[in-house]
Order: sequence, then C-alpha cells, then structure tokens
Amino acid sequence: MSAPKRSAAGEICAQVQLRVDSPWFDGHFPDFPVLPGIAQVSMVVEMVAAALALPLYLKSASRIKFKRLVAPDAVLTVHATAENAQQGQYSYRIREGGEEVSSGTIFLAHNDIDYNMQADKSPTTLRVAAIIINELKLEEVTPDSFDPDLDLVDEVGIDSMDLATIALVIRDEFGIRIDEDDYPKLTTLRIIANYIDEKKNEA
Amino acid sequence: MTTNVQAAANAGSCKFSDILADPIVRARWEKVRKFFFLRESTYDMTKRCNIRCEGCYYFNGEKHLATEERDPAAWRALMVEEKKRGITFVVLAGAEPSLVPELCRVCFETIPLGAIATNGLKLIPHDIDYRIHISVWGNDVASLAVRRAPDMLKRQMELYRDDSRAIFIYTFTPHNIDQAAEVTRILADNNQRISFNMFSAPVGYTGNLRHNPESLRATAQMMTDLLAHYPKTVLYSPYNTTVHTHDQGLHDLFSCPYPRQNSSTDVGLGRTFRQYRTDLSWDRAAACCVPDTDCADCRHYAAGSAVVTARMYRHASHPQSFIAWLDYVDTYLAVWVRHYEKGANLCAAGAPVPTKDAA
Repeated sequence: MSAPKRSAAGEICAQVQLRVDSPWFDGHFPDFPVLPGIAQVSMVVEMVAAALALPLYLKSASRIKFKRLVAPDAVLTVHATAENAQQGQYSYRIREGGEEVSSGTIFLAHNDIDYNMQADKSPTTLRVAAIIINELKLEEVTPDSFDPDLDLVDEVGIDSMDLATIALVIRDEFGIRIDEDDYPKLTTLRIIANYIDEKKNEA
Repeated sequence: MTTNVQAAANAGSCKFSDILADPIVRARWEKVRKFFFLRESTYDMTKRCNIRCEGCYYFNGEKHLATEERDPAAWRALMVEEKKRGITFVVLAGAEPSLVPELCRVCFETIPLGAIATNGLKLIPHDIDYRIHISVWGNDVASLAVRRAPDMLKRQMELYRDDSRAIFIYTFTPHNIDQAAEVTRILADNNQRISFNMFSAPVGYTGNLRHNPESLRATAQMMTDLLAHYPKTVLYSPYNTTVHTHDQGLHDLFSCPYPRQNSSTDVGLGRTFRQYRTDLSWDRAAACCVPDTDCADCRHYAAGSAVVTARMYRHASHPQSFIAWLDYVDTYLAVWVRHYEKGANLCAAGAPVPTKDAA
C-alpha cells in the first residue's frame, strides 16, 4: 500500500498493488484466487489508521457492497471519507481502473475511546430507537437492545415511504429541519442519531 | 380540520403529529399507509397488438425491436426472481397483454397483486384477478380515427360488463376533451368506473396530440365537472386534477424518482424499479413506467401514481397539502389495487403543489 494521502476536503486515498503470494489468497479459492471481501475492508481500516496515526480497529460496518471479483494482480485505489470523524464513521470506495470494486460504511474505534458505546447510551439514540420501533412496529427489540448499525433498508426491508414517516416524526420530536434529499440517507439508528445531534449543534 | 391544525395551518406550517390529530385524517393515513409495502415493476408482455394507435408509447423507441419470450416457464422464473428481490406489484403492459393470457396467468400465480393495461378488445380470463385498465381515447368516432378500431367503447363495455376488475382510463388529448362527458355518462349508465390519464408525448413526437396551456385548462375544467357530477363513477380527486393539468410536467414538479431520472440506488424506486422488455431484459437508463415518454411532457397517470406518492414528505408540512396528498394516494390505490375501495375526497378545494423547500 502506498502512503495514504489526505485531501483538503478530508478524503483519504491510497493505492494498493496486490501480490499473488499474499496470504489472503490462500485457499480463497484453491484454483481460482480471488481477494476476499474482508481483505478489502481491512485495507480501508489499515489506510485510515495509517493516515491518522492511530491504532484503529473495525468496530462495525454497514451497507457493504462487493461488486466485482478482484484478481491477484490487481492495482486498487482505496478512498475513504469521514462522514462523522468523532463517531469513527467513514464511507469508502475501492476501484480497479475505472470500475468500482466495493463500497460501504465502516465504524472505527481504538482502545482509548469507544465511540459506539458513547453513542449507544445517548438520549438521542434511545429516543430515536423508540421512534423506529414504534413506527415500524418492530417486535422483540427494545431501545436498549436496538443494534445501532442495523440497516433499515437492507436488513429490515423498509422503503422510502417508511423512511419519510420516520423523518417526519423525528422532525416533530426534535424540532429540526430535515431536507428532502437527506432523509433517504437516514438508514441506521446511528446515522439518524448523528444527524440529529449535528442539526441541533448547528442551531 | 381541528382548531389546532387550522391555527398551525394559518401560521404557514404544521407538525406532522398536529395534522394527524384530526381523527378523519388519521384514519385515512392509516388506511393508505398499509400499502407502503407495494414495490412495483413493469413488464412488456408481447410485441403484438391487435390495433395500432397514434402516439402509442410501445411502438416508440427500441422496445418493440426486442425478441419475444413466449415460454411461460421463463416468465415464471422471472417472477420468482422478482419476488425474491422484493417486488410486490406488477404492471403488465405493452404491447397488448390480453394476447398472451398464459403469460399473465403465470405472473398472477407468482405475484398476486398487479394491474394490466389493455385496449379492452379481448377479454382477459377472470382467473387472472389483477386490476384491469381499459384505455379509452375519446368517443367511438374519435377512437376510430386515432386507433383505427370501430365501436371500441361498446365492445369494451360488453366484454367487461359487471367485471369489478375493470377501470376505464380516459386519456385526454387536446382534441377529445368534450367527449369525456359523453364517455363518462355512458360508463356511469353501465355501472362502470373511470379514471383519467393525460396524453404525454413520446420522445421525438411531432403529432398534434401534445397538450398546450389552453388544452390543460380545458381538461382541468372537464375533470372538475365530471368529478362533481359522477362522484361514484369517477375515481379522481381535485389534487389529481391540479397535478396532472399543471403547466409543468410531473418531473419538473416533483423530480421523478424512477431510475431513468434518478441515479440513486439507495432506496425507493431507484433501488427496486425495473421495466422489462419482451425479451426479459431491462435497461436502467430507460427504466420508468412509460419508457420513451418525453419527461418534460410527462403527465401520465401511471407516473403520477408513483411520483406524487413518493413525495409524501414535502406534502406533510401543511395540512391542506397533506390531505390533498392523501386524496391522491387513496385514488391511486383504488385505481391500481384490487379490492381497495376509495373513500370520499377529503380536500374538495385541492391544494397548491408544494415545492421541495416546503419540507
């Protein structure tokens, strides 16, 4: 991996030349070596950790999409952008040539600061969890046990109309303005809670 | 409208919970909300048609050049895959689905909610229990001229007499506005129901069916009159009239969320909608409910059903807008979903179209 570069806009970028003798290819697969998906996520973590000079580890991930097979001789470009640096949230994209290989959102932490646990306990998070449970009529889950990274679209199966309904209730409850272009992106409890906190801080 | 809601409305905006505090509004909201699970895709069933209409969307563009998959097993396999990826509502159209009932049946057996767009000249077997939209383009004199088929309305009504699946869809052009009164009266006398469509020009269309400001105003007046005179026959609302006869098309008003105009694949129509051609292929760049329509001229009823409905959020800041939106969605569900019964319109005065910033 090349030394990570950070742009003025906060994007972190590095290039990776794969090697056929990398242990990632051992047994994956015996006659058809393909870079495992977890290796791609690992590259992103490694790149961000190097750029920030912090001992980061992967806490969780969401909306990860693997779109193409990656061969052992590939040259990849890895991009990561801080969506919420305080919460350790980064979106990433990996490309080979002009084609996207994978993308997603990761949540990073290190031993001194457990961002996720802080967010899980916030009043905002608990209230949003209660709203989601009520609006979607979710069963066997409480605000305390609600997975903050559960993807409401991919994993619960809701659509834009339900997201709009949740956004309207949140708008009422927290007295914030939510742009029409924003609510379709509010797909996890953590993202919603962060969005609310940012909006309240802006006010 | 309750006092609190009215006061908030007078102030220019309103909390969503205030709007829903009205029990009538709340009941209608809960009624339509049950159908948020609908995820549609559309399918051209065959390249063939038994008539050839001027301005037909199917024979514009390249759709009709695709090969035709006639194997019911292939269609069943497609429907199984569609169901797996979350599609709950199918729209069977193009060119004339009634010519391939065996394929329509396969679709119904796999995904039981849907609608078929037909010219109504061949009966779709009753066991295919989809909503059936029968297209009407004026009285029978006009139909003979534009569609080259004699006695269309008479034949359509004979075939679909007492058939609760059927809804007649009257497409307004600048030249058949007055005839809508005659057609609606005939349908009312025969216990049929009607809803309205607007001719929306295909890309590159140079004929004289494209609407103009004058024809839009005249159509709005006719729709208003017919809705007032035939409230049990006409499935429409004042807000439908506002939206579909607006000087601006649906895309300009609401920013169309179909893939053809929406690159996002995160959620909603941009994520799930596909428009399949007769060879069972689909093209994201062309995917919308009526492909090859000129988006700037699109006032199509099928487009509105998705486009206006999807913009619930921007309607929910003002009670009048939201109630008008509820009327629109109630209408759309009654027109498209079997066994869904439309309620009385709640917003007789209609409402202005909210802008994106209204949210």
